[in-house]
Amino acid sequence: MILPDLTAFLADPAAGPVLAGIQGERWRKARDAAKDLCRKDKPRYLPLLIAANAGLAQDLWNRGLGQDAEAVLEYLKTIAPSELLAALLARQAESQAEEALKKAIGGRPEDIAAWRLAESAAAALEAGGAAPAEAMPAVDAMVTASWSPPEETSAFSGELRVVRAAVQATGDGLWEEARLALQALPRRSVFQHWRFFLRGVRHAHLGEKTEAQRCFDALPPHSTPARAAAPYRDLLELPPAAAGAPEEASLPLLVAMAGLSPAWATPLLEAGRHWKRQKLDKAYEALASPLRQYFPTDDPGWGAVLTDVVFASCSGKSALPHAAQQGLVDYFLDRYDNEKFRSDRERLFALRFFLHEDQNALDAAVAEECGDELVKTWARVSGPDALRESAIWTMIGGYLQPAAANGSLPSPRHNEKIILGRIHEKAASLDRENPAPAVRLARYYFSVNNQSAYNAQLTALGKRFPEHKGVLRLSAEESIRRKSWPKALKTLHQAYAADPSDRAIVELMLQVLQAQVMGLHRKGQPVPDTLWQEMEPLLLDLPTDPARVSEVTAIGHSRWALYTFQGFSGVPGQSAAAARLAPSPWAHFFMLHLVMQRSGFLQVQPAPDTPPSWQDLRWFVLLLQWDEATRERSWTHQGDLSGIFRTFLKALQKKGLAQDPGDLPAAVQAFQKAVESSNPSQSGLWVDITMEFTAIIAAAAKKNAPYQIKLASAIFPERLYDMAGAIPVLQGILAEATAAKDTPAIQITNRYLDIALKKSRLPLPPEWGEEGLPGPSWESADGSDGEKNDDRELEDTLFPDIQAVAAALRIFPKSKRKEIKERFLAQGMPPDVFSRALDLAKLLAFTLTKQQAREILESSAWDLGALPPPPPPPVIKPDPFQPDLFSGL
Amino acid sequence: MNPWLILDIPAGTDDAGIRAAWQRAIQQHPPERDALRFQEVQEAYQAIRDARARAAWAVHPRRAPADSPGDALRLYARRRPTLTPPGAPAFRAFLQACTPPPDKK
Repeated sequence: MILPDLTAFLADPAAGPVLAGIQGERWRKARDAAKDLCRKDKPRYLPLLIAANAGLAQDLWNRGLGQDAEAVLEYLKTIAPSELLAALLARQAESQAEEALKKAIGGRPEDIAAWRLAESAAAALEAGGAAPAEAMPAVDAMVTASWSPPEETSAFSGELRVVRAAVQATGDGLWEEARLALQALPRRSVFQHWRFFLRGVRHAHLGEKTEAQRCFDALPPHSTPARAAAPYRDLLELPPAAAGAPEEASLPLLVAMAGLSPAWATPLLEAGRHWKRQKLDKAYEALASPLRQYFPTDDPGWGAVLTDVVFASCSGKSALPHAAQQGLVDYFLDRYDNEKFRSDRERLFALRFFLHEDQNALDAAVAEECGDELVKTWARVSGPDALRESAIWTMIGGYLQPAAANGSLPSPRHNEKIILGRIHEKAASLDRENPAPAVRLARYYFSVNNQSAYNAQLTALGKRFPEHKGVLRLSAEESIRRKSWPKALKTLHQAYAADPSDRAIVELMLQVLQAQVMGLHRKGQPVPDTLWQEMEPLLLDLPTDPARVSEVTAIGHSRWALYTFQGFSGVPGQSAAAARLAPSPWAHFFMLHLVMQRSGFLQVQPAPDTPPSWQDLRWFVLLLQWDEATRERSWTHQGDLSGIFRTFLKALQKKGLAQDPGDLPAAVQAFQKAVESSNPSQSGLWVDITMEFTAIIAAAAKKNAPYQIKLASAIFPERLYDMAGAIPVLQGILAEATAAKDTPAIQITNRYLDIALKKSRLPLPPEWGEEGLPGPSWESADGSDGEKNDDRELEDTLFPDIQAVAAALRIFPKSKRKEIKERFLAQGMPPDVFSRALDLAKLLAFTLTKQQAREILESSAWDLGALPPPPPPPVIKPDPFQPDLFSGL
Repeated sequence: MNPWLILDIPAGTDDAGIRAAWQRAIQQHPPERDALRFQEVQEAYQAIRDARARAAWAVHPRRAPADSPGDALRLYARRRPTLTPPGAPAFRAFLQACTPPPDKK
């Protein structure tokens, strides 16, 4: 309170009531008492009257009674000293400002408190100090508040009005007006960050990304402008800031900034809420109900984008959980079943969606029916269109074609194929100027073996569209089928010229060239350099990053794979070149391993001018033994090794088995020894290679063949069972070897002859009859003393059992072994006899062919149940469309 | 994304108009500056370059341009040639929603 000094009246009892009134802020009472005293002695008691009126005036101001206070002040002007009057006038001005503020901002205490806080921060800044950080929310609240700022009662108020004007102009896109408004803002202002924000918004709208980022990056992290900048940052694809704007706020802004009607905002917000909860059907409903004119739609615009999002999100390719997708699918199915579509357009989208979704499990009849309905619905929506109808049938035909090609169409397949044909014919007839459906029709004819229609279609296409890539490709494929490599290549070159970017054509060209390489390999002929050179420009250079290898087949068509293969084929320098091209040393290690594994199948072999010798057979056996001796249980590549052996035998046959047979007997003896001492766990491999070898040697051992061949044939297991029959053969060989003074051959023949003579004198077991002696062995023929044969008598006794167990081992798969054992034991074979028989049978098993084993089992006393059916003879029919040379790599 | 939108042309634009829009778009988004956008423009042109391509595009399934309607809206706004000023009332309402209420103490 602004009051004069009244201490002089403390001792005056007459002034007591006035002082008590002033002290108790009972101003009117004090004034009246002071008036009474002044009537008695005005000069003495006037200060008391002035004090009471001054207090009253201030009290009236405090209570918002400005007019009453004005009247009291007018009276005071006649009696109060000038200093007191000046102080009261200042108080009056303050009171008026506060009144105006309250009037302006609505009088909420928190708003007034915020104003005061913001104003004090501005004052601190103006005075050269720093604005307190806690004032920031209050400053921001002043800008975004809905009330208008009071008239310029202070600098702060003036700055606020400037910022408000700039916000208004920015919202309306009046960039120049906003810029000019902001120029009025002093450099040191509590609204400085708003200046940055509004500038950033302007730059964002003008597409000035860098400038916008600079402005937004300068914003205090937790200020309103920083939050408000979030959607702009997002639109400009800038890194997100610490604080973001709430979705409910930013979505309507985005709708407005995207130039869409505000009517989109609420449905989008609601759809977004459902989408987050993965209720796609409700999200769809939230959009389709209020916005049925604009959604779903194909018309270019926001509606089409939204339509694509919604329909693609419930397709199988979406990352959304299956249950969420299924919710929307069920929703459409329900509308379809109950005819609840809002419009033909909605029906059209649902039908199209069903067709795409069921593409892998489409029944041809259903697909045709669905296609018909789609065509009719679309015609109702946007009129008939032959090109579109052709596209629909082409698409459906494409969906059905793989199933037809795999023969996986549900029965009756014949009808399905007829429908498929009808679909392809519709597609072709509706767009006669388009060769693509006609090519598909031709492929369909081929797939159903309608050769005449296929040929006619191919010829017609060739005449009508001689330069069309698809037609040329079809023609090239036909040439490949006929193995007309030059014609295929010529046609493919034409197709390549039509579209050099079509990798499928390049791959076909590579296949043709590789098929030629393969053919030459099969014939054992050298591959001309020109063939490799022709492949060179078509090859791919693989990226170092495996994630960037788009197709697995690209590896087979890579320069790296081809060079590796060439290196294996003996082309000089290519191994090193392949290693250089490899993406990494480890990748090359894998590649080498794979090519090596497949070299038997692919028949990669040393150059044709280096034919193998019988010494190489010994090397093979030796290496195989080394492999066996050092092999670990988990290693499995027996099949590949037998493939290599087969390649080797073919090369030997090509050279001529009778060529240089001098080393043959020793090689065969080594082979024989290796077989007998082999590890039973590797029996499969030894059986395979023994069979292969026996077959070609037996075929070669004709009457006029060199005695070495005949010796090799005589001492191999096929003949073991006919010792008596072997004697004259061996005697003939001995005579020839003696005449040729071939000491090693004479020694070998003599050893086997001794054994044959000895064995032929042994009594035959009753079950064996006259068919020959049971059991090998030529073991003593390798020069050993025969000590291993101490148990021969026991073996003879058990031989029928051993044979039966061996035959069972040969025929039944490994998985059945336990079962076999149980059956033998159940039928009375003692366990120790079975174990003994098993040990011996393992050795014997790989001397039996499967046919022999079947015969043994069928005539034995043991009943092992149904025998597995004999395997069909392998039929190798090269498919020219399978990249047989490299593709599997 | 819808090819008509990528090329920024209305439906029903003829082949010549589509071609002109494509040429304009590849000038705006050359491959050396934004390879992805360039690729997108190329694909958009291939999808609607003639009546047959347009028919096939209309019939065949589309990829989802975004993971949710909200994301799609952002994508759509981002791809507009310019951002539309939201208008002062909408802008103010947005700023208010970004401002926490004043402390009551």
